[in-house]
Amino acid sequence: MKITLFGKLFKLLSSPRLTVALLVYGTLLVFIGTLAQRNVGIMEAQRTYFESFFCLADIGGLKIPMFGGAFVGALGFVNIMFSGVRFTRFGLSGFGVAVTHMALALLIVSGALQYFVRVEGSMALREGVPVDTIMVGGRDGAPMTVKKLPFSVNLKSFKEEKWEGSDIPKSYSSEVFFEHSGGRVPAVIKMNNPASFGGWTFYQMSFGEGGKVSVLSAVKNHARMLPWISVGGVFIGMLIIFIPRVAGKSGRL
Amino acid sequence: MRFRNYTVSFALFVSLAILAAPLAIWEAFLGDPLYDSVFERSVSSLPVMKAGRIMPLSSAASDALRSIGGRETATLDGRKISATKWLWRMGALRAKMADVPVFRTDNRDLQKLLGVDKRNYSYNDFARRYEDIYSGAVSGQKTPYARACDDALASALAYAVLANTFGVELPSVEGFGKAVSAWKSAIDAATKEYAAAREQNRKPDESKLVEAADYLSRLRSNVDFEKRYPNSVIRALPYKGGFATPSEAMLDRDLDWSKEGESAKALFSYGKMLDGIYSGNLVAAGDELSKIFEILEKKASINFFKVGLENVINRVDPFFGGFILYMLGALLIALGAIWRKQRDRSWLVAKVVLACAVGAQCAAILARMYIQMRPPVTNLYSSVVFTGALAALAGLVFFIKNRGVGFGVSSVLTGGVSILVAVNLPHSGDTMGMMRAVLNSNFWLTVHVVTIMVGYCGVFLAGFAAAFRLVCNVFDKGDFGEATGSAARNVYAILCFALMFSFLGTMLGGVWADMSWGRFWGWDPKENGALMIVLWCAAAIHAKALRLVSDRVFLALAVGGNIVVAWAWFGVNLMGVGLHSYGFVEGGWKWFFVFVGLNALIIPLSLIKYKGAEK
Repeated sequence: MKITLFGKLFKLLSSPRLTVALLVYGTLLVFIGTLAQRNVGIMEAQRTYFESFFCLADIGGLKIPMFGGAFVGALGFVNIMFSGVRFTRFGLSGFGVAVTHMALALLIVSGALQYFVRVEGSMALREGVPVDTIMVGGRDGAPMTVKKLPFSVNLKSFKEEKWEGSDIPKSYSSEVFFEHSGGRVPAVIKMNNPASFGGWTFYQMSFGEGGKVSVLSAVKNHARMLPWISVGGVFIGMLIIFIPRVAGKSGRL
Repeated sequence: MRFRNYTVSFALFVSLAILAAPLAIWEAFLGDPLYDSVFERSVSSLPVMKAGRIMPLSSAASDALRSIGGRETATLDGRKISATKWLWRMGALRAKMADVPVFRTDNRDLQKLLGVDKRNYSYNDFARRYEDIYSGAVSGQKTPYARACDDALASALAYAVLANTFGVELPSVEGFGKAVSAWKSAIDAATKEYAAAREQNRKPDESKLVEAADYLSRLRSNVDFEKRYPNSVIRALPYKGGFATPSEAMLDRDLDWSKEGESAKALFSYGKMLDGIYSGNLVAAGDELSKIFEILEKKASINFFKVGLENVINRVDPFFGGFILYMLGALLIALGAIWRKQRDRSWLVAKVVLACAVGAQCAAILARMYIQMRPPVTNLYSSVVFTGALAALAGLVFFIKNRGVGFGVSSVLTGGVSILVAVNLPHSGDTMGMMRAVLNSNFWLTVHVVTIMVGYCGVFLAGFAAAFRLVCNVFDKGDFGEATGSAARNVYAILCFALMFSFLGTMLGGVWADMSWGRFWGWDPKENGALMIVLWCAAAIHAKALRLVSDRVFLALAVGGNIVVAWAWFGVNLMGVGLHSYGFVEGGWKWFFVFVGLNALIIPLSLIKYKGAEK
């Protein structure tokens, strides 16, 4: 009796219908969540719709209970794993499918990990004044906390470049040095070009007072590389599936 | 065989003639040799700087005219004139040109206030109602009328700034050339008076300074305005390493007024050119133009080939010619579908015509890439033409390989619609503008933006091909099992390709965001849209690969992909823009819903069953 129940559960969780249902439902959820951003803002919609297991969706004033993004992700992960056990085949194509889906499972896990291990804050630097704290949270009414860093950041200069004869910004860059127990490490933080020190990565965010103040965002994220690796894995898996078919023009394409 | 060759040559000839037509018409009838010729040196190919980019004057002038009136040409005395000619005449014949209705407002209340019964009004119309419009603009209300007043004010000030592009008027000085010399002698006189006063230890005689002070305040106010609208200003005067406006150059204390001074020489030449245009002496104006070119050609920072190429493209307008050819291709495909006897020949001609259309669109994109030195996609406009070209090209290849006329139709639709959408996007300045700091990276633009556009293109191509098959099924009277099956196989292949690229593009976007902001995924509307495409494609592909749905339903899912991409591409933009630009959003939403509605109407067609057993 127990075995049948387990068998049924296994069949359900590894069902291809569940796969397609989750994908279609995911599309719908993202759509509803995006629409909600208009009214409640990006952060709030993220919490309500995407980081939750269940949510009360607001569709044109109508409150409808829905499964949240975390639920879809968790079930999707289980579905990928069980389908892997049930359907994995040998051969090149089967290998490609396995790689793609395992990397995808890793992507889901790393997405969840970001939620737990990632810390983001911001700091405003004034030229020549060392700062060793960052502000964490504080957006959308969330409580703001001050976090002390084991080192300090000192702004040497901030530069805003514009394209000649226009007010279109060309680049923003902050020349800083990190100070840690007497030692000094210089670094340049630019748009698209962050700098890391002591486990934290600093990004050029904004500036104020006509360039006297540079605002950086600081992120500590031990799982930073996980999504990069999983994306690479998925892509390689897809190539393994598709390239032989395109090259050989065989198969069911 | 020979007959086939004749047909191909004829089609090729006609297509090229259509592509060359806009240039020929302007050269022969509409254009003015001094202003518009692309074969000889004309004003249109003068290199100038606008919003940080060196471009031919024809680009800068049409951009300027579009930003105030929404159109690229003006009408003077019942005749169409180019933006270049309009800009020069506006500078030279200020009083006359102030009556030309080049401004535009869609707001009825503002039209009533201005006393015009059409959308267009002139600078004088504006000036008469300046105070009312000003108070409307600064009222701080968020009504359409207040916004229209604000726009009208900004346009009029931009117009006033543009009038001083080539020369300035000074109080009680006749002529633009004279204005330059008057300024020169006034500052000389003032300097001399100051020096004399210092030597004789007396106060300077104010009557000898009054002229210089008068001129100075005029020039200063010009420069103040120019600073307020930095991206509207056209800088045509060679100045130090780059370009300046006449007012900026004249206010420079260290300007080299000697014979070697390029800025001063150009100042005089521009002034005399304006005088020539004012008095109708176009020969003199032409002579001065040659002198200006001589000065500019000595500057190494200007790539004349690039500027010339852009000028030719402005006139040839390959997107316009391409659009006409797409329409012609559509006609020929329809003709072949109806007239079975001539189907082969008609579709052969269609293939040649479409190849020329795609060729023109791709050539224009390549030229834009060369001019900008950027990947093909840098903004909404270029994303539309690039994706359209790519989808049209892919569809055409399938069509030529006889994989079904549905691909020919998809080629026409994607190519034609892309051009139509691109030219009707709201004007937001130069379509080859400089890239803002975060986008100023060719590497990321290429790997993320171009990849994701290839993905969009695949989804659209698959969606259009699927839609075509489903529509055909209505007419094929139940006998379409095989056609549906083969269409589904083709669509599946394209969709797999699309999924791979949209997944990679979306996720590389995450990597870029992680590099520049420290977060891989931020649930931004645009990111969500891309994610929706990936999820939807994956759903359709899994449904087909795991044999959960019939071929017809799979095609319907592919049509649904069209809706998802339209949302991700434009829908989220309209949503975000909604807070700022009411007028555009209204129009934008309308077309968005028309597109979504058409696709939604096609999806139920998948319910039509065909005779015989279904897989």
